[in-house]
Amino acid sequence: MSINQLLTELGVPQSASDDGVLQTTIMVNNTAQLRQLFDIGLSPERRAEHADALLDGIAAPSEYPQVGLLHRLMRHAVGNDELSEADRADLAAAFPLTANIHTQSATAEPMTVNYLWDVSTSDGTAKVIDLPNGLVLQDGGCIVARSTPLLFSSSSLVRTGAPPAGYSGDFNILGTKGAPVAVPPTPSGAGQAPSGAPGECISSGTAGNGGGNGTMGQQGTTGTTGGTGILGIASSSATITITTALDLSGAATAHLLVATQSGPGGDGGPGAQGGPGQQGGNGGNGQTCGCTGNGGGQAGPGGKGGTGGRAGDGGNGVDAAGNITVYVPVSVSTTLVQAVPLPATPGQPGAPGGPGPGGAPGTPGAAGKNSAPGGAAAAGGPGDPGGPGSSGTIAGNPATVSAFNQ
Amino acid sequence: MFAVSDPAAAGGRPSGRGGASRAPDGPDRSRPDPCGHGLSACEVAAFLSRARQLGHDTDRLLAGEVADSFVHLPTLEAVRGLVNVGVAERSARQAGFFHPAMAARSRIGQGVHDRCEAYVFADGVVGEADRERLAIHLPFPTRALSVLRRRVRCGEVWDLTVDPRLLGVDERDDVLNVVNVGELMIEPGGRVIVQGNLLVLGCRHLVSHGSLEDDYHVGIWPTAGSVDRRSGPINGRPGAHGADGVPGLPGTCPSGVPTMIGFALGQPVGDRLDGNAGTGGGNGQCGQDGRTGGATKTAEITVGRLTGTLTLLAIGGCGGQGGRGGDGGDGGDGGDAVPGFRTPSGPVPDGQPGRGGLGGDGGDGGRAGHGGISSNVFITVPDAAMARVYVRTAPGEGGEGGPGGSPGRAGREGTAGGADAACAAGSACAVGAVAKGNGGSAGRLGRTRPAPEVFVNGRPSTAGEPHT
Repeated sequence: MSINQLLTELGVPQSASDDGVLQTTIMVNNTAQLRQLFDIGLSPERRAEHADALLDGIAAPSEYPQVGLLHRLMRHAVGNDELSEADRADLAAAFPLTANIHTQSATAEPMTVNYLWDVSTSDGTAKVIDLPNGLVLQDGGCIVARSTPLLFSSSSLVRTGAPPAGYSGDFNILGTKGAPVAVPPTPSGAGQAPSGAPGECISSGTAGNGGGNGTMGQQGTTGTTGGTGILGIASSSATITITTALDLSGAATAHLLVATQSGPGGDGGPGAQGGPGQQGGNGGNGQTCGCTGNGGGQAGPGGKGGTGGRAGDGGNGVDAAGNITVYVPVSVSTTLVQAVPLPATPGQPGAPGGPGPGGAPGTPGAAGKNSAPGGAAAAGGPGDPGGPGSSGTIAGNPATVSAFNQ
Repeated sequence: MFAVSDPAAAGGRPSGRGGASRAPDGPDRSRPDPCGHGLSACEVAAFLSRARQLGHDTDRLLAGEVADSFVHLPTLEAVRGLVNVGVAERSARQAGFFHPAMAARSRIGQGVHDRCEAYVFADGVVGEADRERLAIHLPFPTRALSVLRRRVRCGEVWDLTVDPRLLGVDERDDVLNVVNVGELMIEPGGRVIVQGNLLVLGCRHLVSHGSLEDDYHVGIWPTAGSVDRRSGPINGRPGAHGADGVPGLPGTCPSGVPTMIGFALGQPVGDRLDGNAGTGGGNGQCGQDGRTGGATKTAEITVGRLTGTLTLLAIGGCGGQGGRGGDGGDGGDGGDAVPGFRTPSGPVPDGQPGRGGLGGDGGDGGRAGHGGISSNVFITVPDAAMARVYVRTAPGEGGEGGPGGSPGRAGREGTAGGADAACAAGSACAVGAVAKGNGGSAGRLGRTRPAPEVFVNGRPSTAGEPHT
């Protein structure tokens, strides 16, 4: 069943825009409708082959307990497996779910793409693209799906030129690099160090002790260590179907290029800057005692700045969460489909936190009558920079690309 | 009749710096024409007698030079000997010297000075205890200036003030400033002032004219700075701004595996999609208190002959303004939320944006300084000229309290996670219910202290009225 037939069956109005493009969402209420959505018209044997290809070598990590269930769902929706009652019960909470549809009206021109066509969804829902009038990928054009399950179908595909710089595939089934780690806040500085005691008068006209010296400021707080880079988000499964014609005569390379790279590890977060050194205490003011007085206290030196936070370690790359299958017309050799696999690289370490600034000195104590003010003090020196982090240690494996004839 | 003290009775001749008069630097527009003054021979003789008492070279004064010397008088009696009035006038001054405003401060340290000044300028008696306490100021730093003729032109201010530090004492210490002028001509718009020195101004002939309802010829001003126990500027410094709050960290996406029915998660989302709250802003510091206004010191102006009118202005020092309270720090903005997503277990709702931090409170304004204290001012003129003497006074006004610091702004709520969230960033409700801080309180007003009491020929004056 074509997507247009499915939309008609679901009662979705087929009011396309001027260029003949129809974009809509549909609610998939149960596993039966999901199976219908992913039906690309294969025989039972080839359905099994399709399911095997999408999951071959794809592990179900123990830290993601639902992935095994979802593999069974995929074998049901794409292949021929039946779901157990227990699995159906576990999956009930997932429905209804949203599928994002992109298709063409029957009278539309073939879709022309000379740009980076990003078909990713932000909420992890599947993207279904059906182009019954065909697709022309011109020079500089390509399709990108990041961490998005993709079901792509086109009656024909004409490739001219090459993908844009930075992309190696006509189809780029990618993961998502781990998100940046926020910069930890800089520790706040302590309040000013204690001031010296003010001068004393024994009586009016008789001065006592002069102003006390200000206390030296303390070193600033060490900055927080940067966060470890976030794991990449895996690339998802993709099924690409060209039903009637594949024209690569104008392509830069005589192949349909399918690039695969799962999610690279995120870079480690930067260490926080060291906290500022504490301001030195003020010298105590001298006191005026009637007609005499005493001197002011010396200012306290500023504290050294805090050490910067250690850089965060880079995150690990993740393996692809599903493989890629490409169906080409029977008249086209499957050898024209060429995989461009790239590992999902580990993330780089973050930047070490900068040194905290030195604390300002206190203010010298003012002089009482007929006396000298306190001496000045120096500002604190800057802190030390934070230590370096390490790169992530694990690279993620790309998906397997399998090509079949219709 | 102008009374001149006998130098021999003054306890010794003051010794000038280097023992000689010195000419002012550069050309002196007021240099007198020895033949152009309007002094009688008797007045000239009195001027020269006084100059000799001050240790000045009379020949050079007659040649038009200005003599200006610094001396240190060894005793209180020597200081007393430089005052220009006789016994009767002293008695009249003494009768009114300790008026209520002066009597009120008799028990503080200033009372010692008041009693000693009553001895010097009037007919007071100084006890041994007061002499002991005053001994720290001896020998007494004194400036002596003589000039045969001085013209103060329109717009000119002849400031007689001497910085005590030039005499080797603290800027808050008293200095006796003795000025001996033969003929002083104050043109309309010209002024003679002294700021915070003990003044003994003797003038054989004062010529001053002009409409003086809003102006004055001679001004007795307070010290330029405060003389209270504290240090620093007269106006309080503003309080420091409170530290701004730290913004909340944004929510983070959990790691997961994308599947055809949403992200499969390894662990419950919990509250990691939520933005963290910003922290509160710090409170502003209090403004510094203003200092007490400068002190107006005892002054004596004696005029042998008055041509025209004399208007004197004596003012107390204004208290310093309290420093403004520091503004409260702004609350940190809340962290942004992460949009929800689908999982095989159902949809995960949008994260909640972090609340903004509370704004810090503004610091209280500093208290104002009180007005400065004032001592007595004595004017002595021939009886026939009293009706042409006008006195204006102004009290030492208390300062204004510093205004309170402004409250810190409440932090903004973080951006909501979903596009359809009720509180989009920047909307009116984005600030949420988080409160800003409280404003600081204004500092209290300073207290006004009485104006200098002015006596004309020993009688208390009524400000603004001529004396008869």
